[in-house]
Amino acid sequence: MLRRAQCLLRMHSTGRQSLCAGQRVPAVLHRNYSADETNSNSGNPNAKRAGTGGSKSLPAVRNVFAAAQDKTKDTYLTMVEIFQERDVHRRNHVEFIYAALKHMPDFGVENDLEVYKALINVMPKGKFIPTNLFQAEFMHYPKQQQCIIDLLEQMEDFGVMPDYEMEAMLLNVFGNKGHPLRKYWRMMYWMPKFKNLSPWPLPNPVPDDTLEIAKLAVERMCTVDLRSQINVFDTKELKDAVDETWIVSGMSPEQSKLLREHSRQKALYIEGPFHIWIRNRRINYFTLRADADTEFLAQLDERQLDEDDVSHIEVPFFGRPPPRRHNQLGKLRSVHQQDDGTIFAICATGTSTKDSLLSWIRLLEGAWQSFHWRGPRSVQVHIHSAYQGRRDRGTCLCSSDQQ
Amino acid sequence: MGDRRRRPEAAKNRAACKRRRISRNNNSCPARAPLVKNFFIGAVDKELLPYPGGHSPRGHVPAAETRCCPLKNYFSECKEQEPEQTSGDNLKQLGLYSLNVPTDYDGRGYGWSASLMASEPDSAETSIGLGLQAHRVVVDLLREVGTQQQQQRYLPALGSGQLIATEAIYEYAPPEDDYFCTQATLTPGSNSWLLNGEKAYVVCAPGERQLFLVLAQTQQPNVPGSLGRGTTIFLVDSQQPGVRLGEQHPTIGCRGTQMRRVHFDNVQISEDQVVGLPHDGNRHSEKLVRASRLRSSLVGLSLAKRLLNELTQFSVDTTQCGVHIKDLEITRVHLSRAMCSVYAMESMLYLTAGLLDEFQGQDVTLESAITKYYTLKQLYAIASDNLGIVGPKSLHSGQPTELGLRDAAQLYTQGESIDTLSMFIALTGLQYAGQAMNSGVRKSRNPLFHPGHIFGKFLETTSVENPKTKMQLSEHVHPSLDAAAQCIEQSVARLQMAVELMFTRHGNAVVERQSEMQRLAEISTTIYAMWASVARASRSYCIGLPLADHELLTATAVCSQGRDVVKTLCTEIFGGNFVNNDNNLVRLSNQLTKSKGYFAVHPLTFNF
Repeated sequence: MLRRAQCLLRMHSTGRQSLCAGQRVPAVLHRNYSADETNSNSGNPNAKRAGTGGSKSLPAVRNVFAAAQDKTKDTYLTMVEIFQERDVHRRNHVEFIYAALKHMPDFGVENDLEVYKALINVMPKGKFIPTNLFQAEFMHYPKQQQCIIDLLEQMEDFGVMPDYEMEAMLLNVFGNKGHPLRKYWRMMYWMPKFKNLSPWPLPNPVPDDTLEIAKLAVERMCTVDLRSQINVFDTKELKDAVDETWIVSGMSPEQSKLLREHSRQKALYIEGPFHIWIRNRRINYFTLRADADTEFLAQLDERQLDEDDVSHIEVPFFGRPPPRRHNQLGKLRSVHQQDDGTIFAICATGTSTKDSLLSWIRLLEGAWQSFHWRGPRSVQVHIHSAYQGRRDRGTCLCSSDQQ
Repeated sequence: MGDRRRRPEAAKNRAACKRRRISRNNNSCPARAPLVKNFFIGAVDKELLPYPGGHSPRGHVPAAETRCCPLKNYFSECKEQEPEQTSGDNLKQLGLYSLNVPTDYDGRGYGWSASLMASEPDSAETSIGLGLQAHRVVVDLLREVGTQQQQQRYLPALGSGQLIATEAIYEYAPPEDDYFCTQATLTPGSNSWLLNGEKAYVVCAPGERQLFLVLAQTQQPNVPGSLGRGTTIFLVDSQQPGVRLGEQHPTIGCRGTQMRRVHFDNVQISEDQVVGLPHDGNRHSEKLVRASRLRSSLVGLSLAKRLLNELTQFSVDTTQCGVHIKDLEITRVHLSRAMCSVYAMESMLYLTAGLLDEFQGQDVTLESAITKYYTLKQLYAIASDNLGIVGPKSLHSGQPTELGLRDAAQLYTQGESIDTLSMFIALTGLQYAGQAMNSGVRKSRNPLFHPGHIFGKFLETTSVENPKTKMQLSEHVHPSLDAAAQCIEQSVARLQMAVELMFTRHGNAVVERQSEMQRLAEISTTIYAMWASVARASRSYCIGLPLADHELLTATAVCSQGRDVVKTLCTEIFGGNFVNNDNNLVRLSNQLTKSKGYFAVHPLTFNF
């Protein structure tokens, strides 16, 4: 029964967590550990709403982590060490661990396995190991066990994978029937599997430079077309650019071909900013697009094909393109031709201003020989402000003659 | 072996031959339905089972045989001296350029079989053969589709060797969305063309005046866009202004031939240099590729024979640890496999040529493609298997095995690649079968509208495992080949079932299932090899050629091997892509291209 109650608690806490998932990632992980304590100790419903007040309502422990001046890993570990050496009983060590967990992001140690191990090491060894079946079944020392489970949960949230040494530590503290051990084993089953599951792995650690992250973002978006090329431009190369900034631009030969074939009577738009998240950083990007070529798309509509008719199979000569159903005329829909528009290129600029986007267009002309404008073309720049829903429009004429 | 039963069909067979013989005297019979294309719909033409040339008492062939003698002597002597000495002049004197030039233009006027036979001695020298075959292919095309005027203008010079023709078809870097980079534009008003571009892998005889057969992209004047795009075949003299011989391609094999790039810069071409109709090159290309496939098969065949002979000699001469290599089972099996392959290639080549000679306008598109496909694949297999028998010394440069492997690799990929060839075979067959099976396929694909049709299908008792046939092929061959004929029958039935199943499953999307099409190509190739071998062996035994009993054995071996190949491949097609592993492979390739290559991390990678 007790275990079921614990399970319910856990479910509640995950539900709460997912509510705030839209915020910035560090905020997500400000977990409310007071919940367990308030339920088991006082049962006061208001205390639950108090949120971060959990550690404040414990007058016995001075929150050393909040008071620390120098917030580094060394100080953090030193504080843990001081706590361990202060007295043999290590009173209030559970509260200490909760407080330590809460302040991890302030010290920038939330991804550090060593720190988590140091916190587990605060627990006394041997004392919490159940000695009989009933103890094992009824969660011996539930508060302590829950504390370490919460610690493991926080590791999981931050994607810190435990190692075998941690297993040994947990075994020494809780024995092999302990709930933290079960949690550990489950983690060791799933986390290695999830660790490398992303189709767009990021370097570890993720670089901090915005330009580098923008490159990663554009590269990631360009994986739809394997032939895409990423160019990094500097607006300094242009003489009449106002903004001095970088531009990361992604375009593939196929897109350049589509652009070449795009009718000059039809406008091109630069639209954005759209957002892409790289780990916990947001990058704004813009697309160069045109309205969808509905005629062409309708022509490719599969419903017009009679799939049952096998009497007109073509045989190519001289080893050239093997015939496909959909390109009887040799035309295929490219991945860039979406129903809502054809996307010719994407970019992220350092400033995300209109001027930097115009510079982008001029730089593209230089980079792609096939990017022939054949005289002036109208390019409309639509920049809608993400927060006010306001659209800032501008039209410009671009031509290779301007350069 | 021998007649155990009285067979009225033996008489039938003889009657068919007689009919053909009679008509041969009046030049040629009307065309019959295509042979291999009909395999795709499960039909066989038993009239084509008797091997051609079978009963010709005084045809072209024996005459050609006697005339070949000096050639044979010349090439065998040449080999003893210096192979490089074989200059163009000697070839001219031997009349090697004129074999298939009609007698009206001072040529020998040989038909397909005879000219192939007569060119056997020179094909034995792969490097020389390659150049000569290219020349003959152009002559073949001119003879068939050239105008009277063109024939008069070119054929005498081509026959005497003053002008050496060669194909200039393939390009080093073909464009992304078109056939050729080489473009020809019609100059308005003047009826002349301007040719621009470059061709690669052109086999050139050094220092001669050459005639290039160029395929170029052209645009029909009144039709805009891709609809009006076509290819046109031009004959371009190397002495015309604007034609320039480019760099020589260093190639892996056939080092004796020169392969070059040829550049065309604003070459002015008059109207009478267009072969066939302008913009309609694809239709004539069919004739062009047919000739070139047949003739290049001959080069491959000669090389395969030479490799087999060399290996046999090696295994007879070599003893290892007191054991004769020839007595080892592994060597024996290997040698016999090669023997079967060579036998099948040769049978296919002359069967196809015979069909061309005997029947007016016979469709042998598929047969010629299959002959080339089979020949080159088996040649390469023989050449690489030889390495295993000969051992490490086989790869020393200058060793016959090494040279053979190089030449085999060269032939294997020269011009069209083997994969496109296999696609061509499958697609041609499917095209033909699609027309014949269309209504049935439509019914099978819409079972609820055609319950009767589906019910009939359920009641059928035939299966891939155990196909029921009523072709009675065995009554048209020697009784000793009963079992072999049975193998062919079953294989044809299986092929038809596989084709029908593929159509039913995929509709016209079948053209995208290339993996299955490759199997189809393999199946039809195997069946044609079996067919040709049985036909030939039967003829040889019936007329009592030397070692004919071993030919029977060879044909039987080809057929039992072939039956198993066909059965396996058909079972794979029937299993579908989830059973036959295709699905896994296609899925794998997605990640492979995404990762741009090998994607697995190191086996000892540390994760936690």
